[in-house]
Amino acid sequence: MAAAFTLAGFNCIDVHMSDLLAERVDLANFNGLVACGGFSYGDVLGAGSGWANTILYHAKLAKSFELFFHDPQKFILGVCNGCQMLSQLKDLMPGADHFPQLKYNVSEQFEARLSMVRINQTNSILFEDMANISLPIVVAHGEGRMHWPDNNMKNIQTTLQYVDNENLPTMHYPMNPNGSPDGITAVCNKDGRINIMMPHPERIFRTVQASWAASTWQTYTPWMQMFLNARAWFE
Amino acid sequence: MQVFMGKAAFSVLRLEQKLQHIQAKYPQLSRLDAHEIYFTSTNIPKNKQQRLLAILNAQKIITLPDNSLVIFPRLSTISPWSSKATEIMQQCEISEIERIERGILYIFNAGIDAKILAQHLLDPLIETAAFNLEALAKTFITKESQSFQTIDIHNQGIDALISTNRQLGLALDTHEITYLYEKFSALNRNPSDVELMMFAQANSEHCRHKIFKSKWIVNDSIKEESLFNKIQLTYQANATNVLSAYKDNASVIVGNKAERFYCDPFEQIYHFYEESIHILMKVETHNHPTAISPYPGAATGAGGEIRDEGATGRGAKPKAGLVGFSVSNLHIPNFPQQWENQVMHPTHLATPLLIMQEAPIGAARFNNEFGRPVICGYMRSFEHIIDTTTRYGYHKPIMLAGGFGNIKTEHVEKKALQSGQLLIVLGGPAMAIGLGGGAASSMASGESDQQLDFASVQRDNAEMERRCQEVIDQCWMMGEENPIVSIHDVGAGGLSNALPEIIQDAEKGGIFSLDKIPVAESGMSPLEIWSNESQERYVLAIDETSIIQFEKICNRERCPFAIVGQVTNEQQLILKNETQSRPIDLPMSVIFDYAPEGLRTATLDHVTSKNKIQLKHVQIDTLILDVLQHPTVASKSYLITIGDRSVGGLVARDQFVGAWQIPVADVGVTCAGFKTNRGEAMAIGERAPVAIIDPPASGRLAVAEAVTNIMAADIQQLSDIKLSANWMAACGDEKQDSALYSTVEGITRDFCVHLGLTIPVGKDSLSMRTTWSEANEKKSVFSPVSLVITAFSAINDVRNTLTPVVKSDIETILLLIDLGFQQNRMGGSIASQVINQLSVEAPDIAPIDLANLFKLINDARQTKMIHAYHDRSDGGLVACLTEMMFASHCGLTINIPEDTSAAQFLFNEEIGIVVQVDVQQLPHFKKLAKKHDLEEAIIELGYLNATDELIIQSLEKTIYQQPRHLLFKAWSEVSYHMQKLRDNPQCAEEIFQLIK
Repeated sequence: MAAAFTLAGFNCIDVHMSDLLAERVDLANFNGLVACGGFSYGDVLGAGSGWANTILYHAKLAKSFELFFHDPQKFILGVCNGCQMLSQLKDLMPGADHFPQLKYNVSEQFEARLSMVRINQTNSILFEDMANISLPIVVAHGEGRMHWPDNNMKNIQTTLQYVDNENLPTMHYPMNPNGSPDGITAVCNKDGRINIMMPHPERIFRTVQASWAASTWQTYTPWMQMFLNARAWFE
Repeated sequence: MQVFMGKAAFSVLRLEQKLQHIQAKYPQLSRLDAHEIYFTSTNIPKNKQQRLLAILNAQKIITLPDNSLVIFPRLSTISPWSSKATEIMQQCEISEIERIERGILYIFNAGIDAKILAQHLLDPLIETAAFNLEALAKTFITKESQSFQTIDIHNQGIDALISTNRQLGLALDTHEITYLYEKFSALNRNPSDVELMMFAQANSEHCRHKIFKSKWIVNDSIKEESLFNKIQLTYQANATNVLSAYKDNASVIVGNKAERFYCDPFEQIYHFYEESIHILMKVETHNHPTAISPYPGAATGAGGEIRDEGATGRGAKPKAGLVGFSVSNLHIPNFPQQWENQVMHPTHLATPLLIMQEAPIGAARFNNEFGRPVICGYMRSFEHIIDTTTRYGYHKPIMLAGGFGNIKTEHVEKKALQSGQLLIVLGGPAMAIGLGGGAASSMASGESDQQLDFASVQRDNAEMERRCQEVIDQCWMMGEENPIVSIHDVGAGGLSNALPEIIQDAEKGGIFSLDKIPVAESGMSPLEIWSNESQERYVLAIDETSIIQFEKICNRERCPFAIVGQVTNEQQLILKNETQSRPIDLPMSVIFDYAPEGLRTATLDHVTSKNKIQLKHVQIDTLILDVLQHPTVASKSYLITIGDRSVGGLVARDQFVGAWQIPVADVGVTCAGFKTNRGEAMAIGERAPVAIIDPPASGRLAVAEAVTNIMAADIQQLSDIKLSANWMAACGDEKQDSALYSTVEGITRDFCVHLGLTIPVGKDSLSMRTTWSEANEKKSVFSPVSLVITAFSAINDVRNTLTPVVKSDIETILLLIDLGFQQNRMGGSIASQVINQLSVEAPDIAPIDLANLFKLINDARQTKMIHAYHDRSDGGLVACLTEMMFASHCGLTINIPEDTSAAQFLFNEEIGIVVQVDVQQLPHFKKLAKKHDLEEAIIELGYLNATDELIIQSLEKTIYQQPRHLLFKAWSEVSYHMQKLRDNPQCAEEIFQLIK
């Protein structure tokens, strides 16, 4: 993740939750916040929950995250475990009421696959010029099924959807590896600054990383554009 | 105590599976419900309760429901869940929680004996059952600590040692007992149980490799050269690019110079650093624990191997892993195979089916949670009947865990310890589990007490190991300023092996405080604290001046550590406890100077089978299906999608290839960094069934297969490839000992040495035998000598890796490069197994042919002549070609050469590869082959066809024709059935339905 953002022109700083708790680091000094994978606290009390709760129930931290989320100059990305965690902080975010819960994959198994997703037209700052193309992406998770209580799926800003051979959103396993409704696997908040996704674009931004690569790809895959878009957003 | 009931403990599907599983043994059970249940040692004030309930997503209860029981962590232990959850609660500002623990509340139908049901639900090593809340509350009671025992040899003589040996399951032989008796008599004192256990672990076969270091009598003459010496010959012949061999937790070879990407540990900013990115390589086995308890056995196998990598030199970074299994016949329900023999299996070991359902998940989950991609593997299922009570097979399975990592130049060598330096245990606390694993795993299954067997398996906690690795990472990222002087992982024997080892390396002594060792279980005896094999621990030496900095790193990563002792100049090992008595006070020499008695005997006659296979009555179409459905040949998809293959972002080639993601890659490849295309590769070779016919040939084939696999990657020269040799055998009878001896001899002096292939690392597990009694009949199953070779190499350019995916937009031809030169020997092949004619003439390989093949492929790669590449191995040419078809969604038309038996041609497993080249380039390729003396090996196989079928022709007549999707269906069936048993069966159906 840091490599992709560094190559896109960011300075990447490794921040541990304990740095924030000890106030060695102040969130306000950053332009963006990226929450990465995996298995924080060994998924004790639910994937990403331990991590999210240590923010939600820590008065000072909750405040600093809320300020960061509401700042129109900042961008936020959560991938995999970071997605599971950030989805549980939606009450601190503007325009994120529709963020889903993450449940166990319908296969009842960890799923590591190269899956086809379609990028949708949304407000997302990451995918501005990438809408309507379909690309393979890396998937590696046990709890990646997006779930909306009471099937309330209105106003969802869906950025990525698993698609089948006909490029249509699919529920068919394994093209949809986790059973997410309509194949939805990434969403963003209303103004497009806060993006959460289960698949891993940072593991397939270089062509050499791709288990299968299109012959037209040069050094980078089209996913690199996502990181460049984040950088360009600051220009 | 307060108690809270939370969400369902299992999904509907998992609960139903559990119910069915128990019903099979306890049919009275008709209903089972399961909820998580949480309990706290202290009462939480009202104003914090709401918060607690929200975090737990639970409600308070004051009594257990009717017909219920709770399974929870064994009394006086603290589970890993508890330490993490307690940490979370405290960070959520519920500081009133001293400890929270979790159990599972089972609710069932009336008329069930809760005590009987509990036996079906719990893992007695780490869990216990409660039938009311009072019993649950006992969790928080701490037990008095126990003292150590002294064994009174002063008055009772050697008999006292003999009975202690039995009681504690030390597995000491009479020579060792005499040695100890003499040593302690000379010291004029009685040994403690702690000292004896330590000695037994440190000197177990597992830790000392007695057989590999023994002298031999071969054909009645004494050979000074041990098996280990023979392996070392490969290093003496070619030490080029080997930076560390035989002495550390892993071997290190020279890697690429490139820009490595990591975080500056002082400022926490990521940078690219131009440096040498050396490669460490390690392959381990965890066979015994996997036989006893597949999931934790394999999980801790993966975990232990990862620790070895991290504890190389002065700290290193694991990068990519591999997992492999050899098991006996699977007997998959609803999918019987005509070649599967009648089941013969003891009750004390997990069945092959259960092993293959659970162990791969254990290994995958550990790797996933630790964050290491698994990009390579193998699986063999094998049994061969000798007589009604004896078989070859893998009732004691092979569970292989390995991989490679990266290490900085300045950290390859451990530093010499200095007196006064601090000795530290990094990682999780100790619990009384996994006692005597080193000794237990050195016995044949069935020899040792079942209770002891069970107690020798540990439990896994991958997240703790990852925290430790984060600490090690921060240390190595400091480069020259790395505070780690020396580091070892804690494995077999626990601290009783790891701490003496780290001081012995530097010829020092040490003084340790028992009460400083972190424990998560009250009431442990000194022996248990010193020798338990609780996982996720490392020992390291650090200078006193670095300790503040080290502590800062550990605190940031929330990684527990403890200073447990200090290095001394006097070579004495002292362990103090609170009362200042000394459970251990021994000269280091008593532990380490023991020279195992041993002279082993081998008779080398080299009689191999010259029998020819009888194929007259064999139908090719049936045989193709049987071979493609064989678990060794069939799709391993069910073993691969469970594992993360991309974490870290540096994987360039995983098992799945092509647009249709078919698991047929020959090699696993990673990039050295995020800017470079240089990288590392690894691949496995293994041909154990051939060892029944010709052991040395089976060894050579394993090496050759590893080479033909790794050759798919862009390697400069053959001698760049370094090998790990992992030896499995059922030593103890002269025939198997001789087979082992001749195999080691067969692959070293005249093979690897000749090729410049160095074996700087490896391991042995030589008690691959299972014995038991059934209806007063003694049964025995033992493995053939099984050499698993893993090849590692630095590579030039990851983009040049060849795959089995063929190119279909130009006119091409498929060539077989047959290093068997049309001898088509069938011995040990999958086809020979399914028609029950295994013991016929076996293939073999001459080193010069392998060297030439390497040069030919490399030359052809440089000129981009090869479009697709696949090696011929299990299943022969048919498996090789159909896999290329599956990966490419194409059909192939193949010609059987004249005067050749079609079946032998299609199914022999002589070393060979299939390549796809341009028709235009064919003359050039042949010229190259001639240059490398392989002209005679080239066979023009055939072409891609437009009908998407496998068409086999002989003398211009079609003798076989089958659509690709039907072959693919057969090849996918094992994976389908296994997934259906293990995961949501609906998903298994959906994926299988896609094949049409």
